[in-house]
Amino acid sequence: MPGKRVIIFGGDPAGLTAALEQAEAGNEVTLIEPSPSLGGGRISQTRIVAEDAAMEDPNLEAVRLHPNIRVVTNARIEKVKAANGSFQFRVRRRTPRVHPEKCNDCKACIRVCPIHMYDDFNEGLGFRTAIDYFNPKTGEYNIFKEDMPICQATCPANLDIRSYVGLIADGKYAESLAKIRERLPFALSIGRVCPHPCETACNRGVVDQPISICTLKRFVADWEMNNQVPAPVEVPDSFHKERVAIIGAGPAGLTCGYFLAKAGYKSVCFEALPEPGGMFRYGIPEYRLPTPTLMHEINWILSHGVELRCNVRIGRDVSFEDLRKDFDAVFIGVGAHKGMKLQIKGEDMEGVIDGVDFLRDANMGKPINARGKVIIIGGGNVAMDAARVSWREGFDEVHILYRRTKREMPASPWEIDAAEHEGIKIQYLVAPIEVLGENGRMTGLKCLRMQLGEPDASGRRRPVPIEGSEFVVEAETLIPAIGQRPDLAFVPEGSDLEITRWSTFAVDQETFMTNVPGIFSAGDVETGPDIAIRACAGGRKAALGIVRYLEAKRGSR
Amino acid sequence: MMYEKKGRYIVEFQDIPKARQHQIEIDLEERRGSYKEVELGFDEERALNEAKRCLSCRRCLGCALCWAECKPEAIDFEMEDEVFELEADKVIVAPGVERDMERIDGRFGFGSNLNIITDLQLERMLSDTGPSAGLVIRPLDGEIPRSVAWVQSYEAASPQMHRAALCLAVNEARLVRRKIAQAEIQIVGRDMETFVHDHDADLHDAERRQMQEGVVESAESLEDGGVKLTIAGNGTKEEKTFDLVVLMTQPRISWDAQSLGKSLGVTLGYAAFLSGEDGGLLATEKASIQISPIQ
Repeated sequence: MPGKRVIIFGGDPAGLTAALEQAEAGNEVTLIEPSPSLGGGRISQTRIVAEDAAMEDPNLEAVRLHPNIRVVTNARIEKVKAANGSFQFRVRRRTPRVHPEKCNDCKACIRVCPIHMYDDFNEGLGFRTAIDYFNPKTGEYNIFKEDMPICQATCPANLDIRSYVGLIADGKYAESLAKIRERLPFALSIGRVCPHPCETACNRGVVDQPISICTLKRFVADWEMNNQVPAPVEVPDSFHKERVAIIGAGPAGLTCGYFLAKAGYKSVCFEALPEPGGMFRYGIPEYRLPTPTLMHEINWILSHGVELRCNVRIGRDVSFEDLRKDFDAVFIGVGAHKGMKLQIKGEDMEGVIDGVDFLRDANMGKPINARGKVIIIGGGNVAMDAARVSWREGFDEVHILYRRTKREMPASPWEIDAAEHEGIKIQYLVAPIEVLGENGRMTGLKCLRMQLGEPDASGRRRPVPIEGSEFVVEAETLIPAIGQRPDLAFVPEGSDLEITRWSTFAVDQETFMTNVPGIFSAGDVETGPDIAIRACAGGRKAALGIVRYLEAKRGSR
Repeated sequence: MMYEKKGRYIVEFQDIPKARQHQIEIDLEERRGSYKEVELGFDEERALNEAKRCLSCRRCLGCALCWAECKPEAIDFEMEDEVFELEADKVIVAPGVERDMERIDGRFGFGSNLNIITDLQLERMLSDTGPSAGLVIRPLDGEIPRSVAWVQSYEAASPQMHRAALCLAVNEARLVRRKIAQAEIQIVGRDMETFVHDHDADLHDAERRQMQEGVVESAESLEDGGVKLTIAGNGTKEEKTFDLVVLMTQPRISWDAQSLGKSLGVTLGYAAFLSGEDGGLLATEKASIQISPIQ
């Protein structure tokens, strides 16, 4: 009589004993074990045993070599069906990603693995590496892998955060920085200014507080700069003959140039302003990102093979059409530097200066007439930056007016806190209705109190004016900071470039090519005003798109 | 080598609460009228502390360093899960047990002192294939403990589960005694009398091990890494210091086994498989499904 087909779940000593018994009785045994390997010794939990027998080390070898036993590790049951006196199981065996018959147990993989996770094989006692063996007696190696972790998936540039943080924990700072630079050349700058959505998503935030990912990135970048460690410049031995024009030396453009150089393409970067950096240089205040630090980083990026031409405004000094003729591809990363208007009476009076313009003037060291009271309108990070700069410039009083409440404020909470800490007064539920003045010079602002009504398209409750609540604030300076748009004046009239109703370019989200072959775009001019790392992420993807485009063009010739 | 299995007994434990590190900032007075950088980032110590907080999601990232290093080319990132159908006439479930570390009450100091471990952690430590290759050491400093206490860290859900925990503790204590002959050994828990009475014949070496009826009220960490326990029992309170404290935890059936039982349509009762009756298979509601109780 043929033996029965027996399935056993669980490879602990009880399961192994049962397996051996069943196999000896002539049954055909399959042993299913959820962990990557059959375990080591266990101590009895049901009876007091003599010292010598206390550690039950089951006879693994006997189980593994028994002709009637098939061991399936790393396995789970997906489906059970019972019919006609027998059971049907669907078993999923998770891949170990290691071929056991080829592995020679040299442990080289364990030595290089940068991931140190809690040793779940040993009850969290110490650490193990992501590639490891469960039991030295079976030597079955296994890689514990899953999809992208939440921090990496949230980061617009998908930075390999766990790797670079893990490398820092190991004291491998140079390796950590190299890991960051695989996807982002701006570790020094982003490490200072990023609003780090990754930290908001971090799982540890559920337990206590998220990992300070952004500042860790800054740490390794600072470590290299402050210790005069030479930053590696890794480019191919020879460059291709094609050249790429980059319009705008901001986060998107310079990132694009960096990755083009790494792929073997030289580029020329045209910048309208006197210095490179875009919003890093002219939008972010000096106290958040000092210019020498930024320039340290930019000079390193340029040294890869990006030629910089400042004070060249496309459409004025060089025509857009000439660029298209002189270069094999064009990348547009001009950002969004045009402040939105309040659309109220008296807005063109002297004393009213847009937030982006104000920050640019301050960053250029232009003298600012910092007298009396200044009012900033808006609730975003530009408003916070403008307020904190105003305070530094020496205004007697700095007020921010925001038409909703703190809860709806789009600025990063820590920026709001810092502004308040510096003595900036924020008034909520207030909207401006008219700039008052004498002889074309502002003297005050007429405002209206608001209350929150129904949610609008952004999901935030819409502010509704309270009738008869008008009041006047005396002030000589008004800084509206309610949003920016790209300035597309350089695009010649009648151009075939597709432009959205937000004055941005529409691009293919994979290649970042516009509707015109050979013209690419990323950054704020493509996304609308957004965070710097998204611009960097776009710049990198566009560089890859440009490389593909140039390769295809060369191939078809 | 740090990463060698045997040598990498790193003194870090799972539940150490480490606060998020904060950046160094310049004072308010320094900011007015100046554009000095406000936030100064981390110094090395803060960076290391902060980086070490990131642990919970660590898995393979696909960096392929191991792949590059593997001479026999055994590593294959393209290898996929294997799904197959299996038919059986008979099913045996060996449910095993799990013990939740996160349910341990804060007063036992687990996570705040490395020298307070769980019984399952000690089991791994006692194993030849464990992280310390069978050596019983204090996780904090690698010293051999001169005194070890087992402490009940749960409210018993059933007498069988409590007995299982005590059995594990006594067995562990015996192994520790064999490895560290001079060690002072004490087991503190409830219903000790019943346990000792039931296992009288097996506890012949009792004079070398104190079984104390009592409840541990607090565990205080001492400067030398020792743990001062406040033990209440029989109307008195006593303070006693140990080099290593092992928390007895309560076994429960694994979630995997529970859900398997559900889909098979059988009840995997705790008491049944924790009772440890002569090691044979236990019957269930269905004739073709049996339970192999824990050993």
